[in-house]
Amino acid sequence: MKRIVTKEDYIRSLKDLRHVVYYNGKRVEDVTEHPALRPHINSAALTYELALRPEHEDLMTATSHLTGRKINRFTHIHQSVDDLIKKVQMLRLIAHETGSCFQRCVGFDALNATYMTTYDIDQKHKTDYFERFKKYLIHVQDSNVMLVGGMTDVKGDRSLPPAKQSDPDLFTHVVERRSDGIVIRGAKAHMTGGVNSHEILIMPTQAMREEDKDYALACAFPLNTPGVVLIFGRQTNEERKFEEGIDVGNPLYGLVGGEALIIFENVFVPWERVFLCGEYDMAGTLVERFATLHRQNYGGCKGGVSDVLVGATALAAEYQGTAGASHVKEKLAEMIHLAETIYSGSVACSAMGYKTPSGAYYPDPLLANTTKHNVTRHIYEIARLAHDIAGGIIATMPFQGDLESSEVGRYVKKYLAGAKGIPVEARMKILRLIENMSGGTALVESMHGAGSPQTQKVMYGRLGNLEQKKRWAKRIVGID
Amino acid sequence: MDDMKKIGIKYCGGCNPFYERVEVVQRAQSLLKDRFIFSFDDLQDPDIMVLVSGCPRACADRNPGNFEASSHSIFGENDFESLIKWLTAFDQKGE
Repeated sequence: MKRIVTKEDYIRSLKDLRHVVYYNGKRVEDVTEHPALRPHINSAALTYELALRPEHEDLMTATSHLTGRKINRFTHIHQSVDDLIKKVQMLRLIAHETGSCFQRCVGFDALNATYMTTYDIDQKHKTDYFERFKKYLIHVQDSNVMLVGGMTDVKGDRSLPPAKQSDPDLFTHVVERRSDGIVIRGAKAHMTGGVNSHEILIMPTQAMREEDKDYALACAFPLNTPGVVLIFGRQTNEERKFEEGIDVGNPLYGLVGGEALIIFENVFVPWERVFLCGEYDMAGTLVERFATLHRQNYGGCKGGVSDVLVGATALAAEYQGTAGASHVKEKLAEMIHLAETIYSGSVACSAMGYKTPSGAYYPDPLLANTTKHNVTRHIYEIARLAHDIAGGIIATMPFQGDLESSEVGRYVKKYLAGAKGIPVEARMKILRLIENMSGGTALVESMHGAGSPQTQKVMYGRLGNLEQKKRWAKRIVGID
Repeated sequence: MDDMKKIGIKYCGGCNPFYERVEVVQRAQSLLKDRFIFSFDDLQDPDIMVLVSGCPRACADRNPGNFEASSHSIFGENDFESLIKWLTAFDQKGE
């Protein structure tokens, strides 16, 4: 595959992909021309575009430890604590440009998790997954393709393990082993960047037992492989993307990651792209590593998104004459505190990261989980404060069409006027941006992306070292 | 043109800059366009280097690359004047 360098290369490569994508029941022939999908493509395209700018290349690029070539950081395997920190810094900077998710971190985390885990699988089972994976990684680094990180299965009845589901396809699994590869069936849900990625790297969704070994599966393939079908998810206010201008809220970029349900209907995967197949005892390790690497991110990207929302909220206050009120200043300070708190968590888990046996670096898992858990709370509070300061107008504001109407436009301009000298149009733009960034789908993504809060609490039980904490308490008061 | 000095510009990554780094460099470029060539991509053998960081953490200084030329670091909007003074002095020395 020709190396993707520019935004234009990326868009052309998606046109050429001709993968099977559905939007609201209809086949999308060209994802790059679809108004609901284009904003997500614009967001992901920045991961290519910013890497070419001298003012960002220190964060956006890295040197491949396998080839020595300069690569996009989204295809890099972390070689140091500094790499882990740069990842978080990079996410914050891109979010400042998009004000929303740019999707490519999921595949990035899947690469790192699979890299370090295939090494460990080989050590335990004498397999050759690590060498296979390194070849695949060089392909990804050299072609600069965007990957879906395919973890979350649809899961059916959550009280039952994969092999006991009434429909065996509710977890993605191997249905046939052939001399040249495997055939898989199932589906992955909530796949961020699905419709505008080139390939998917599948991982298991949870720890597995022996009876689930056909579900202990990691493999990669292009999204235009026969049998792959993508169904784009519905979002809050998505019909506004069919318009242009103020009411869209964020005129160029998507709302969250443009998630899709991806179905695998008897998809063939050659052995050279299979990285876990039946070693059920290692599925949990791969899941935990991906989860940690992905939870590491959230103070970076959501910290950056929050920076934009704080700025928009401060502008809304200025535009309507409330910026001088002490309670508004206090609430803006609280928003900054919350945003920097989640960012601190991402930096901390990176700074406390360590080298795995594969040589790749890994963030501190307890701190990474804590970071993501804070995101499930703090982003809601930041949005609540934005709503508080912006006022009820974000829920009741007229259409852009009213502003431009020859009949009622003059009323909108007269009665939506704020502080002297501020155009009504500017006020409406900022209020629509706040609405776009602080409600519906945008919030749910902070709650459930990279795992729901309960999954982080489960990790506290495992990593929180409660017994040691009890010993410290006993020692202080002299209990044997 | 031939006797114009080459300035290598090395930026930090720009994770959370306090100011518009590119704008400050563009202002300097516009002011000194008759005396210096600003180079962003080709940082081989510059006559002089400017290390542009977005905040006092000074990440551009931490990984500046290999060069022997003398360098000047900026971390904020307020460093613009000192940058212009330093470049002008360098130009006048005719090194």
